Amino acid sequence: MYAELHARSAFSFLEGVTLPEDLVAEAARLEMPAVAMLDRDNLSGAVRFHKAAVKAGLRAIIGAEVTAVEGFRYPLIAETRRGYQNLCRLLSTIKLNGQPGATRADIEQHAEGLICLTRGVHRPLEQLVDTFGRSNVYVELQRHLHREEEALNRADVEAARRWKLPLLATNGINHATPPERQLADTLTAIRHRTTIQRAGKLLARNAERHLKPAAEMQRLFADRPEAISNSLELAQRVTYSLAKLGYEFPRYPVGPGETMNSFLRQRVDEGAHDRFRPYHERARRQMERELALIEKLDLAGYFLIVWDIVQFCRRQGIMVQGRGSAANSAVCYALGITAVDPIAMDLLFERFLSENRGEWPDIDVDLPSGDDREQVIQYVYRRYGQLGAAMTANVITYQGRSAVRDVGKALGFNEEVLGRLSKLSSRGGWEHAQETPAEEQAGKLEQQLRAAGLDRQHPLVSKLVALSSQIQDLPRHLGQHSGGMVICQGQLDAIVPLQPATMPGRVIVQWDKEDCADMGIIKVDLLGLGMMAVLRDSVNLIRDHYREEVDLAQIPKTDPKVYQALQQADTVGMFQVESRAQISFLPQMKPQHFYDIVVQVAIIRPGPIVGKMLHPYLRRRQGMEPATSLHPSLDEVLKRTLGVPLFQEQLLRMAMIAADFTGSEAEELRRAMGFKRSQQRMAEIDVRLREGMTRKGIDQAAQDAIVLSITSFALYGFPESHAISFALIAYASAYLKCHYLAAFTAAILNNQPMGFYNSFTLIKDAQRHGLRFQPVDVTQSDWLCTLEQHAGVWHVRLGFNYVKGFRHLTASNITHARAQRQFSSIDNLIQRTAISREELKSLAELGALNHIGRETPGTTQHRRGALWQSELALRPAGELFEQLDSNPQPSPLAPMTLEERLSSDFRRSGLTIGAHPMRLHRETLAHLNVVTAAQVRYLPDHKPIRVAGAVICRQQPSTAKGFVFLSLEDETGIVNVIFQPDLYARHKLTVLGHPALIIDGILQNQRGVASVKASDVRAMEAAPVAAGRSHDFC
Amino acid sequence: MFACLFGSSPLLAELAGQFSPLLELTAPDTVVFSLAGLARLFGDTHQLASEVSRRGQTMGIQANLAIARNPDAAVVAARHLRGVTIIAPGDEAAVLGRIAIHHLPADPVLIDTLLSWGIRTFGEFAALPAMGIAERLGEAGTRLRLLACGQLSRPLQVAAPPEDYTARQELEHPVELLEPLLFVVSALVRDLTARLARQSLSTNRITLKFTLAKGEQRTRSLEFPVALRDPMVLLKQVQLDLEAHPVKAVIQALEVMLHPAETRSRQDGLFVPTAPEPEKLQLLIARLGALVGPEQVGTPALLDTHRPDAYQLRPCAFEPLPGMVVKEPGTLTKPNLQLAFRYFRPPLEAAVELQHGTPRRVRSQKVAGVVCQTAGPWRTSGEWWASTAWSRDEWDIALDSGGLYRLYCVHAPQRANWFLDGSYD
Repeated sequence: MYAELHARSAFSFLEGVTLPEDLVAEAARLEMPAVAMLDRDNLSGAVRFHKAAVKAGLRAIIGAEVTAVEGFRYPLIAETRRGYQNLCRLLSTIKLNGQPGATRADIEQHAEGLICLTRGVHRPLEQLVDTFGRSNVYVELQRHLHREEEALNRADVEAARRWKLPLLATNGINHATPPERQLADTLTAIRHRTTIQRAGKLLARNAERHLKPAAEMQRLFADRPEAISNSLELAQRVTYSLAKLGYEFPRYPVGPGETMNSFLRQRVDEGAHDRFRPYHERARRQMERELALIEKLDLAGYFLIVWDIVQFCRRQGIMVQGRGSAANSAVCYALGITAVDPIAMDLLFERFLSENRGEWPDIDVDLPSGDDREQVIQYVYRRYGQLGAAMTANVITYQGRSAVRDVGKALGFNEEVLGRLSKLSSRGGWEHAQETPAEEQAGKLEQQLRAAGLDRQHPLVSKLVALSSQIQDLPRHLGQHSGGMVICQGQLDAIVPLQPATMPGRVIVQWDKEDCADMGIIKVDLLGLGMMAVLRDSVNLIRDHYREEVDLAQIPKTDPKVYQALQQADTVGMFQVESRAQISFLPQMKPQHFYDIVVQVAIIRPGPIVGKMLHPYLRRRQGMEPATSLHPSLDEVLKRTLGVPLFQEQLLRMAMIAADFTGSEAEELRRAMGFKRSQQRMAEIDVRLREGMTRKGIDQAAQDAIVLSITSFALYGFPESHAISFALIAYASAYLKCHYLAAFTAAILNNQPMGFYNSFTLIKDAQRHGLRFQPVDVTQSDWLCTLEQHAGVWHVRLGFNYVKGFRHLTASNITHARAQRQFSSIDNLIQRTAISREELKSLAELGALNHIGRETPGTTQHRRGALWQSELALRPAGELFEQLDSNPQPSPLAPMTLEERLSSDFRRSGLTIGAHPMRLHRETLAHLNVVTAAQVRYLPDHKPIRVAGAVICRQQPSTAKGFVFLSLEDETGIVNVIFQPDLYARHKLTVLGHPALIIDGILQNQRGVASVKASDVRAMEAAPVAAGRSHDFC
Repeated sequence: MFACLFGSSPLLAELAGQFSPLLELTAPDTVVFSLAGLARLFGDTHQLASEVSRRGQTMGIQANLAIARNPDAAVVAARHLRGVTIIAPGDEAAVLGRIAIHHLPADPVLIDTLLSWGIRTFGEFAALPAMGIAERLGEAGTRLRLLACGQLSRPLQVAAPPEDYTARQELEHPVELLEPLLFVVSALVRDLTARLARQSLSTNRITLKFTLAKGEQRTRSLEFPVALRDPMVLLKQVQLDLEAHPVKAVIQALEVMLHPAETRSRQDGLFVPTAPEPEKLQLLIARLGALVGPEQVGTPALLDTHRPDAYQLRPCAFEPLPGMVVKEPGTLTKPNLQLAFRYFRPPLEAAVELQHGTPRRVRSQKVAGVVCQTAGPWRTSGEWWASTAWSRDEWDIALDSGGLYRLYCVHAPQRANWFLDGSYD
């Protein structure tokens, strides 16, 4: 027997090749009793390694190779929990202090409970023995069939004899199996930013650094049998496993005589009386049921921690709303974490919390993106200490395009070929990676390679194909998760190594959110939502300018203007209902009640589309077919969605009603159907479902339909509670847009980029609704867009944030100086604000200097006049003349034409508040029989038409079988165009390469939805000035 | 008045030279020449332009021609107005006024500024007030405005043409043998090296072009790592090359061309060991190359690979020897006592008998015996990405006869090939 105690996994980023699960699988195949995974300076793969080992029935020994400041590495194994904690702290110290490696003092401070392996003569053994203790140092022998290594081994054996230290045979694993050596060499080239042809001796000498069976290791170390037997002894000696992590749930501080449970009960009771008016019996019963379970699972602290965060937000006036399955909980509602009344909405608590799940419930909190969210994150750091809270990591893995590009580069392909390869598919990867039949895959691959000008038979090309497939999913580096925070009672750095995030002031743990969940670590997702920031800013603008107070929680959910806008798909800028797909669906759906918006948010998703739920639902809504359920017993569950299952909660309830599953069992079913499906578990569940349904007397045909519906939908289904939370925000955004257009538009412009449309489209849409805009003006504008009243009507004044390259500092200087006194001239502006040359030119070209010094008669000027003056003002006059006021002569330059002004607007700010560029071409287009977007909806179905516009969106949804959707914008609105796959293939370059297109096609105008089925396309010869960024393939 | 020719023909300067020695090679595609005094020979500017066009046509040149009062106006007109343009004095601004502003030879930032002002042509630029331009764009702006007006005046920068180190000899009596050929080459080389010496230049390439019977051409070219000027060394190199690559035909004409190069200059340190003169070394290498083939001569360099004994021959480089470093007695390290290894060149093919995968008996042309001790295998492999992929296992073996050898096995697709690589001393 032999245990490999020095293996690196792919989490030794770009050094190891094998994923922890594969490493364990190979070790299990070789019947090893234990494996030690020692990744370079991190424990990022430790949880996956531990989980896989538990499943495979072998022991996972945790350790790491810790880089020393001198450059060598200490291979360290955690023998005890103390050792593990020391290892975490040692790694955290190095990372958080930004050290290149561990100093001797760091090692000495954290040596307890760790076993050090040593090899070679880098480290004096005397020092290691002093630091770790004689019984905790093993002299490592490795044999990779390398002549010079043998000399090293002899010296090590001699040193071990002299110091009476045990020998330990290891193989210094970089890859589990010999064939993976090729990928290891490729990663080496990537790590050293070279090619395999140039890497020379950086590459492996041979393929011997793989897991070897005990017999082979015994043969290799036939002269040193003790080195093999010591590997088993050491493996047995190490008692620590991640199962003994020692994570302690954070305690919420409560007063004397109180427990967290009693404190939570009080808070819930207070909140419930406020939320439920009246606090009815059904709510009380549900509350009691939830609290009992929370107490049983000892989760009171978790709810109190989230409640504490929400309280902080309330105190600071930060808008906050829980999302996801937390909205199924009445306790969360009472605590003010969520905004949805789960009892009134009849939501299923088990989707949020179930007794058998064995992990913390997931509470995600939406916050306005930007400063507010950062304020909350910093509060959590302050509350639990810098070493008590951290963000979760996000393991960035090789996917599609990055895999092809990095492997291609390492194999020596030039940039041009790599560029072509990256464009092979929309996702950049090899098509054969998708779930398509093998023959089809091979054919597609051949096609793609031929398209890139490559010969599939060439050895290097075949290596590229093989290696870029192998590298898929291998970790590349650690990033930061968008919002997940983990919190610990006490020192988090003793649980998992911490490291600084790229953003200053942030710390991340080396585990991702799944790892944290698997290890039972509490996590709160603090997610930034752009629309929350828009709502906040809108409310503030309304308060400051309209002198009205809008309470978003209290706005009526029956506002006719909102439903009218939704029914007409007039939703540009509204949360979740503004996308091209939503816009084409809204007129058919014709929302009339709040719950219709909930359905609307949930139904345009891959789940309902793939599960073919969309059209049955629509037909039933339009009364074209009866709203029957899969089985009469499910009528109650499915009645709200007209017999069509749309939400995860319905799926759970279907299992509970049809097959007598308990709430916990149903939730387990949902999780089993998740992304990582196991065939065995699926089969087990299928049997249990059918047994239950047979007991209930449900016939075979209905059983088949129910099982199919559950299995096909579980993967993509949307929780109803989540849909309701989002629908609340969608409704609020629609309400503000319909009633306070100026404030809403200013707020959304100030929070770009976000949503589906760029600023230009948002402005043009607002203008079509009658909103007036004022240009950037150095005498009026602030950094952000603001509101101004002209003749009793609110206008939006564009801010300096819409001037490309303009610095926030300059804007502050301008507003401060202007508060003292207005600028008298361009010279005066330059002298008082330290504005740069380019910034001044931008302002002049945008017309922002036109009104400077308007008090002086005759100085109001046009953009070119400002440019003429700016150039003079910017030129140093020399010491002798610089104090003299210039006496500017009138500009000899001609004012800009309309087209020139548009061009300047786009060049300097990416948008215009003037005429839509398409208007300039309208006369020509009219001669070509091009109709406007506004005319399209009034033309009859099936009419051949020609449309033209700036492309604002190109999409090819994975569910659309190759169809491509375009949105064209002109001065009257937006028109949607559909391309069939073959037409798109023929005109791909035109469609992708031109900012404005003329498209011929057949109009499809049915049930209020108009779109053009394209039959021909061409680029607009005199293309309008670039109409902003198109929303492409997102 | 000045004329400017603009085109891609290499004969522009020759055409201009037919009219005036006062010519300026403004750019590879632009030549300006003075028309002073030509009226008496060719008539007025129109007649002169006709003559330039006629001769250009005869020479097969396609170019624009412009005649103006100053060189820059002529250059601008020739570059941006097609065909023949004759600008009468005083008409410059009107004629140049329609040229697009981005043709102005100015910094892109300045062009950008003018475009932002709405200035699209030379004429619009010229119409701006001179003082306003001077205040905003400074001296550069003023100069460019004058250029746009066609009023910038300057003298021609007349340059001497570069010297050509080519000599040609038509042979009255065609030669076939090397000795008379070298006699002719010698005279030409001596003449050309004397001309190089006058310019303090040397050569790093000599090219010989032979015209054979029936007009066939043949060329030999020799490159030298260091620049040379000694005719004897050059001739000897030519001789060695022609001996290795005889023309084997009757030669009717001969052209020798030397490529000029900076003369090498170096001063050695007083204590730097003397190395052979580069000329002599070069000659030696040429002789060796003639004997064994040029690809067999060079400086060996180890390749950066795990493949044992991988090297390549690189062209000999005559780098100056590094200065001698004298170590202090105290810093001398102990000699590293290792076994010396003596390579067999080429390796000896061997028949090997294996026992449990380990060599037991070896037989080759020079060495044979029973293996009494082994160490190994030592395994290397590489270039898995190419058709040159290799894999090799080595053993150190002791034979009963007393020798200590390195044996290796190359894994070919069909079978293993064994070789004795060398012996340990």
